[in-house]
Amino acid sequence: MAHTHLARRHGSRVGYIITLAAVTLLPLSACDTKRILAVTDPDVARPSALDNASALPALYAGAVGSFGQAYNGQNSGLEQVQLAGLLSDEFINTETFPTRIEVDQRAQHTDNGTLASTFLDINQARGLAQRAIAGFEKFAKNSADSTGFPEVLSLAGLSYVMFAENYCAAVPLSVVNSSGTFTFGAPLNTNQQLDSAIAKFNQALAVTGAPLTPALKYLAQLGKGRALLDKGDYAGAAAAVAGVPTTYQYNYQHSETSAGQNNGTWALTASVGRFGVADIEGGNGLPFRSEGNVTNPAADPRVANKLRPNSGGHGFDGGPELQYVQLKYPLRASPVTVEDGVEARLIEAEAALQGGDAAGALAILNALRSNGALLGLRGYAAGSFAPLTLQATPGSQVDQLFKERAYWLYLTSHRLGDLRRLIRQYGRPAESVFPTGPYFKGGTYGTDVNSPVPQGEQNNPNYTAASCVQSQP
Amino acid sequence: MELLRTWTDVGHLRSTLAAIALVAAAALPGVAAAQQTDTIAGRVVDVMSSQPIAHAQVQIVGSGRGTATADDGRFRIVGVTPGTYQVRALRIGYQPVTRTVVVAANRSITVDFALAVGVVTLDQVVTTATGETIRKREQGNVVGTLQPAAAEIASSGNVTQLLTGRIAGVDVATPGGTIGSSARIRIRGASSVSLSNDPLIIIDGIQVDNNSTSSTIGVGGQTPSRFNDINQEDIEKIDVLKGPAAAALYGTAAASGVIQITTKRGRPGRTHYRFFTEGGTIRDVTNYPSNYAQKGTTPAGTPVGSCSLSSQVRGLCTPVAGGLVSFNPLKQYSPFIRGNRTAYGLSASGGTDRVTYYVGGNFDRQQGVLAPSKDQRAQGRLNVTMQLRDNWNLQLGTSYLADHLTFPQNDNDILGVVSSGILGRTQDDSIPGHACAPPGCAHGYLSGQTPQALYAIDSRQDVQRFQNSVTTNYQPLTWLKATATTGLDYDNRYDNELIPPNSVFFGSLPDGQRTSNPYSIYKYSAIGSATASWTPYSDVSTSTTVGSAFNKDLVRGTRAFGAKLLGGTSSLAGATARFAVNEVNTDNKTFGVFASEDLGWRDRVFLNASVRNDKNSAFGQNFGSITYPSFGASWVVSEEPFFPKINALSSLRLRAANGRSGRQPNFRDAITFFNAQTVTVAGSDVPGIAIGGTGNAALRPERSTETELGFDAGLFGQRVSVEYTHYSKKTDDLLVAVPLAPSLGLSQTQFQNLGTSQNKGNELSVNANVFDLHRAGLDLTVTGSTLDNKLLSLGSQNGKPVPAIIVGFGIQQHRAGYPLGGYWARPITYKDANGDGIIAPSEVTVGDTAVYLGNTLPRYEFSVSPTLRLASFLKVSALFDHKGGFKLFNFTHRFHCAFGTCQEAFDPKASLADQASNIAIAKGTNAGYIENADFTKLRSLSFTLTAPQRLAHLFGGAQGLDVTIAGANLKTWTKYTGFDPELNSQPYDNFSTSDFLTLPPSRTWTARLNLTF
Repeated sequence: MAHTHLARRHGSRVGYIITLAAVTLLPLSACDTKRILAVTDPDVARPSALDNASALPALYAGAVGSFGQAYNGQNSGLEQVQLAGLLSDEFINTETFPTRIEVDQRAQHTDNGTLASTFLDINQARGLAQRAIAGFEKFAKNSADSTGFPEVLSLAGLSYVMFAENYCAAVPLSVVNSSGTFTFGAPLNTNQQLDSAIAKFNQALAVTGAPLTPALKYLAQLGKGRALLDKGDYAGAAAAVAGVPTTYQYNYQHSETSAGQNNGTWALTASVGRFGVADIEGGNGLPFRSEGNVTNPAADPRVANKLRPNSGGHGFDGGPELQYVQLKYPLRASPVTVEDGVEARLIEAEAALQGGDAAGALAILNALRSNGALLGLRGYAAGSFAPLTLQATPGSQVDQLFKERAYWLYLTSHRLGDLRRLIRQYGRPAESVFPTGPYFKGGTYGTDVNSPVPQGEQNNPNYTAASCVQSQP
Repeated sequence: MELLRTWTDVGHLRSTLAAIALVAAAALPGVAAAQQTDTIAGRVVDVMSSQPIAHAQVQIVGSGRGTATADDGRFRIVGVTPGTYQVRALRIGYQPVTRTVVVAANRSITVDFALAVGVVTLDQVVTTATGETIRKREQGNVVGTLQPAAAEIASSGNVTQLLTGRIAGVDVATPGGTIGSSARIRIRGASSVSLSNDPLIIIDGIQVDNNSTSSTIGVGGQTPSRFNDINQEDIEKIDVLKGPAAAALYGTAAASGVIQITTKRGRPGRTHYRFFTEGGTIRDVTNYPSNYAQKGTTPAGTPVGSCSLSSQVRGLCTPVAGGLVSFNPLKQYSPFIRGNRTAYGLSASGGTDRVTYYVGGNFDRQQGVLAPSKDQRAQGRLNVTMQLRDNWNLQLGTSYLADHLTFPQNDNDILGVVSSGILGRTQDDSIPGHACAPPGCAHGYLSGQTPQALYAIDSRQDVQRFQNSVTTNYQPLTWLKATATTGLDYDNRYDNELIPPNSVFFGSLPDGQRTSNPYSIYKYSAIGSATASWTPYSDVSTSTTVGSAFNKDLVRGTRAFGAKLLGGTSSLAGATARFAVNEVNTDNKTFGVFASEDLGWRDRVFLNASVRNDKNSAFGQNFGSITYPSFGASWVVSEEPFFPKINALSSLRLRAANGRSGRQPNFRDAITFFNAQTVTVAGSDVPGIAIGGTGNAALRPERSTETELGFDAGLFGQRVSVEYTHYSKKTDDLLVAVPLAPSLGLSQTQFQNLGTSQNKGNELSVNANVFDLHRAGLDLTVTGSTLDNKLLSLGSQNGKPVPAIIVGFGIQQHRAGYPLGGYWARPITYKDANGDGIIAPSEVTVGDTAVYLGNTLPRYEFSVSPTLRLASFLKVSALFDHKGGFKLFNFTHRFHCAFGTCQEAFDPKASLADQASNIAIAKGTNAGYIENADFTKLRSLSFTLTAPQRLAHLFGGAQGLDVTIAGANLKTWTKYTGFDPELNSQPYDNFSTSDFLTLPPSRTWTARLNLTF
């Protein structure tokens, strides 16, 4: 009997536990956990919000803004204008960050975190331009909808130009498909990158109707001419830029509104003292600092600079070199010229020189130096530049042309590409073109003539690191 | 749109309330039946001295009912239904005693206990995830417990320091000398690559904010930690559940272990008052290096100020005899002041049989060794326990913190004090011939201004924090009880910074600027469970628990910035340019259900099985829920009849546990999104998209599975306890922020479940009552642990193994086959080929590929804590702590050399290795600055003097008076050449570890007076 009683008691408790479990678990299984776990996220936009015609202005602005930041912002601490300037002879490093010192020293590593951000920024700019292009192609039903379409095509093209001029000859271009899947690209050599750029510029030039304003047509022409020049097609380049006014400029408008919109070169030089104007850097560089120093009455205004007014003239690192601050971008909101009508003339001058017309090339250069409208546009005093004289040898004529390019196009991400062209197209040894010898912060200059594709790209199954050779022009 | 948003918010509030209600409903089934009850009362004393034992636990075995003794050793448990019970009294440091009592209707029972000294902790109680308390012997896993003594509190400036070196397997790296800065706390190492490895913090049953980088104002490195908000004066006990084997029922978020804090509660009886006051000094005791230069001449005869050994051997300059100069801004124009600490506190506790209370409050003020480094806080807590009915009680807890913290600039900051001094000049700019530039003499500081001038930067954080918890225990039937806890941890944080115009001369700072960031952080917790217990056979006990839990973490923040301040203003209202504003809203919810079954046999064999199932709002949309099972077994083998009864091995318990826990993805890790950016188009600012995050719809939580094996032994008549545990934790489905190929033009990383990590190790805790004589006694606590951490695999994506992930200034890597976050650099070889005692650049070779150089977390550590009691009035305690088997990146020295002002750059007497390390910097490697960081520290030393009662009475009739003099950070033995082998400029970061221009730990001496009434 006792046993039976015990069993009954146990039975009652087991029943109670079952009831207990049911009371606990059944409501849970029945309740809508999706509702309980629902959260809000008002701070960001989901892709679905951009998949309509009303999103075209935001897609367009995103492409423009991201290109501007990747070109001359300060997000990575070394965007394209500063990268080209530091790896070439425009800037010296006046700060402490090892990742940027090794760029100045021409001894970059693929695990360099700064360079990873730099490369990512220009890729994001290309990606957002491509996203905007896809949006225009999908949703623009009329001319009014297509405003800005040629511009984003040209910005995509210019992204390819940046890859070709500043990076090794193994830059892959991967694609995010509309389904969200990825198509990974294989490494493209410099000519392939330039062909991609030219295709974009041609696509921009092919846009019909009002969206292709003259200004945007000139932008595409200049981009195409620049790419052809990089390929060594001098005549084709000159033909491409024909008709572009000398005073034309495509500017990226920096502003004070946010740090992301600030002129990065101003921020990293005048504000925080990371880079100084170089002077005959590594023996082969141009005398940017001495010829542009504003204490010199005959200073060249195109490369104007002055000693840092505080910290005893030292940059961020407190020495060993004094920091001379560039004055091309004197303000946080100074606009940066992405493409310039002057470059059209310089391309024509180079084509003339290549065609054996040294005098014609010189005439073009001197016309620029005496162009009142151009000087006025840039705020230079009339008569700022004495006429150049014809150089005796082809080599010195090339030197003269490239110096003029360097000064007119100072700090616009052209110089690194030009130094590489001197090696690639004019047959000069790298060590006669790039800074070389003892490095002023210790050690010696390395052998890099381009920037590497960062280690992160090894996550691309079609990419092999060995194909990127940093000493290859 | 406004209406829609309002509706949405209400909807979420409704869902939150619904979840809490659901949890509560699960916890409170049934209705109570009225029964006749009575009281068990008595007294607990020391068997030798007959002195009362305060704070002893007295429990009715198997019921969950119990209380603690008051200062006079008395206890009282009301509302006991008639029956026969086992009543147990236990206290840390004593052997437990269990007695059988028979409670008859309407009759009080008196039962007294006399406890003998013993250090074995088998019957010490710990709190489980469901809110119940059980004895350690009933668990298959180990639980580390700390009941801080007054001397330990006196020698600790905060709860972080209180934990340091106290519990095996808990690694607390001492923070730097900046007041209020966070420390890295790791339990059994780090196992997650990309998610936080910080432990989960539970206070009185509710989850609390534990953010170790809790600020939006950057000052170069150190950040405040919300962990330091915990008031150590209120802590009754800290239980550490070290991993998934112990914490599986906590579900998603417990994979890094759980620190469970129980705050003080009142006991029935008269009101006891406690007052303390504390004062002390804080000093910087670091020997900072000087800045060197060697004067020389070029081959052309031109004088140069810096002629390094490297330049000399290359023929670029010749040193001038006697031209080695040095200057030390941090010594010769020292910014350091003598800091101080003051604290006052008052608490009262007591109550009746039906209502007990604890109320306490304290005020603390600390001034660090740099003028802006200071903290001022006021804290208060009220805990009330109410026996609403004989079978129903309610525990209410509420606390408040008002904290005002100011931070100096430091670490990775050109305007930092230490950085500006160490990287400063080799001469004073105020010497004749070196006219100071505006705004005045910098006295060799790199920033161009003295630290005192830079103190114009006013970076501060004001915190008002409320923690509220409600716990109710309900026992409708003798064998059925329910527990529910709900609570809210609300942190109202205000980060702000002011730089007045024309005060700091760097970049745009002369414009003046203001940052104002109010943040509200909410952590809601609700957990409910019901437990049915019975004894089907006389030797077998069993209990079944079911329940559910809900947690919600909500952040609402606004960041605002403006520049060009109008003179005389100090808020955004005075800003006139560069306005920027941003808003931060995050929301994360977890909902889980759990069940647990416990089986006991003859109170010496225990088996446990439990399971929890979780859903979380941050899981990928294609993922459902995750299940965390756990199992445990415990066998007190020494209580078996066959076990020999020998004094040398007086008790032995064998235990084993296995469990799984997880970590949920962060908010937005699973979704693809775009941010906004401002773009100027045609002169107008317009909105544009910017790349945000790349989501992963299949994202699921990390799963850590841990197995523990161990034993607890009592030796020599329970005078020595040994607790040994071997653990092995494997974490699968690692949530890795995998670098995306940048050519995709997406975000830098995408979270994916990849790879596996493993942590293995051993833990040992020994407590010994070495001798206990009439006039003297010595207790000794030794804890030790080993850690073997390895990333087994990083998985693969797109058919290729995921390459090593680089972190921490580029010198640390997560690489398969090696410890997480280990140091990697290209190796250096050198040889003084010409034997001139100077290493030339040509004599240094740097390898082509990085090699593994060591791990950042200690592989082994042990601490020794002796406590010597002399006569009846003096107690001396110390804590020695040793950590070994790890390295530290001496980035400070590396930078000093990179700036060309370290001694080995010029002094041929410097070691060849140091010269080679310096030269190798320019060759692109920092390998020479990864140093062995093994150390032994005398972390604390305290002397406690207890006054005779007649002397105490002179202080307003006090019943007790003691004075504790305590020192902290007293001595370090190490071969590490930097400031401190534990220094880390980014303690808040998951892995980044480097000594980088951080203010080193200070030395403190304090005196504390305790009065009890």
